[in-house]
Amino acid sequence: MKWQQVLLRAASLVGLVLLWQVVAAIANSDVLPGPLAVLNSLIAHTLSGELPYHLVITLARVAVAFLMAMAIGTAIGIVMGRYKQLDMVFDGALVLGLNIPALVTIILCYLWFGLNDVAAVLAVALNKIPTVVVMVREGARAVDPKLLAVAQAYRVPKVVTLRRVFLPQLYPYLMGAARSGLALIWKIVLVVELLGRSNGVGFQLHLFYQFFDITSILAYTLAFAGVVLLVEAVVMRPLENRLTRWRT
Amino acid sequence: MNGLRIHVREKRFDGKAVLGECTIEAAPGEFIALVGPSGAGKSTLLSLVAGLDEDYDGEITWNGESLSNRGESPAHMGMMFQEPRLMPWLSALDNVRLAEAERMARDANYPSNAVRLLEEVGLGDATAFWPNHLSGGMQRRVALARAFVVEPQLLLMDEPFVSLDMPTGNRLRRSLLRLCERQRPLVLFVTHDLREALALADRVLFLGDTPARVMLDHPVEGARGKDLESAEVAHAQQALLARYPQLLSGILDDARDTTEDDEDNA
Repeated sequence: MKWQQVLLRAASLVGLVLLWQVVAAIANSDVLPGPLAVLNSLIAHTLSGELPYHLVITLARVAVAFLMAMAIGTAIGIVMGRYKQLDMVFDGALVLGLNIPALVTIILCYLWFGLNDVAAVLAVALNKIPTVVVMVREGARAVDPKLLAVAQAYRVPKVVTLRRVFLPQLYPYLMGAARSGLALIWKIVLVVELLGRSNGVGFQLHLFYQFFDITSILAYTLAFAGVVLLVEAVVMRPLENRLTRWRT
Repeated sequence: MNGLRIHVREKRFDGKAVLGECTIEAAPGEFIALVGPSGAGKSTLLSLVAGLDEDYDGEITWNGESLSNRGESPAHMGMMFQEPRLMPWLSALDNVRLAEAERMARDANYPSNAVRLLEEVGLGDATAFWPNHLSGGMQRRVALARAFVVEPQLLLMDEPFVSLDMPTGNRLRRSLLRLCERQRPLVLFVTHDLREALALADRVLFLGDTPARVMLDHPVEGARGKDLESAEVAHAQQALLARYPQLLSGILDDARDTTEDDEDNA
């Protein structure tokens, strides 16, 4: 059962690579290098140490922005989901936040706080927070008052109630927010790096773009895709299984 | 004054009065059943005592101390709801220990009684199970253990054994009485099953009318723990219903009075 799943996932990836090879062979052009050429480029960039360096910097930015967006977004989402008055007060700002283009936030952050990492990470987090708020607010609204009544009747301390009664009901929503959050943050971090940093994957891609180095662009993309799949397999899926194992 | 004193003047939901003038007094250790048609405000009354709903006009005192508008439930209070209301993500043991969290927070050395209570309700082998993996009857046993782990002096039960088959229900009722025997809490037991009330309680209070009030305070003869299907319970039920045929519909209509009236008229 488990092996079948692994096999199926692997087969779908292999299929994608094959499709790429076929299209590249038909096109037979410098604009679309085949998987082998890209793999060679990936190995070269890795051995020179330059790809790992930029990748680690980008991952660090992703991690900080992600944690910041999740923490702040969750707190605001819970408050808005539980208190109707505050929900009404902040709802307008939330709609605005959801719809401001990422580019505007990025440029403003750089202009206000300078071309530094604080501004970069802040810009990414600000782009993500509203969507976390929306998802967590949905979860907070759906929290079962009957279970909260149990905690109240047994005088369970506030902190314990939050940890053992309230938050477990939010886990599915938090996992959803984390998944969609990571996806969005990967994308925005690269734009932020392209616009105002002198290192990171985004900066490198910009460099290759100017040299019309498509093979290197695809090599970096491949490395990035590998990291995304790894995070999903090693962190997200096991975490989700652990948090929902009582359902089995 | 020891014991529970409930005096509700009025309780409204969305402007509609559900509870009218209600006075109930109960001594420590007493087992009181509240019987009435659905919608008669029995559960509402329990949530007022439990401190889960503080929006009412009246006073409730427990051992001389006011329970009204305190913003928290009384200490040493156990409660069982119509559904087991276990946290599905916590094991049976952790569900019971959740009720001990307050004592643990005050005294880090407080020895947990959760395992002992689960053993006493017959779930010694199932402490690590999630509620999903337990049958309906077993889930209620966990809820029963949780209610007694706080060493309750006040035990509020809102139709706790509803929709269980007869043997399972009987076993749970026996467990409840055994635990009560040792702990001696004051019990308020809401049920719509007159036989259950007559089998378990020392006193049965009948609620009815709109807004609801206590219509009849009926002392139960004989010791607690009668068999639900025994002739004794059946007889007590028949006698009560013969006298008040519409009692369970919330109407106190004394058949004896009417017959006497008829005779007078004749």
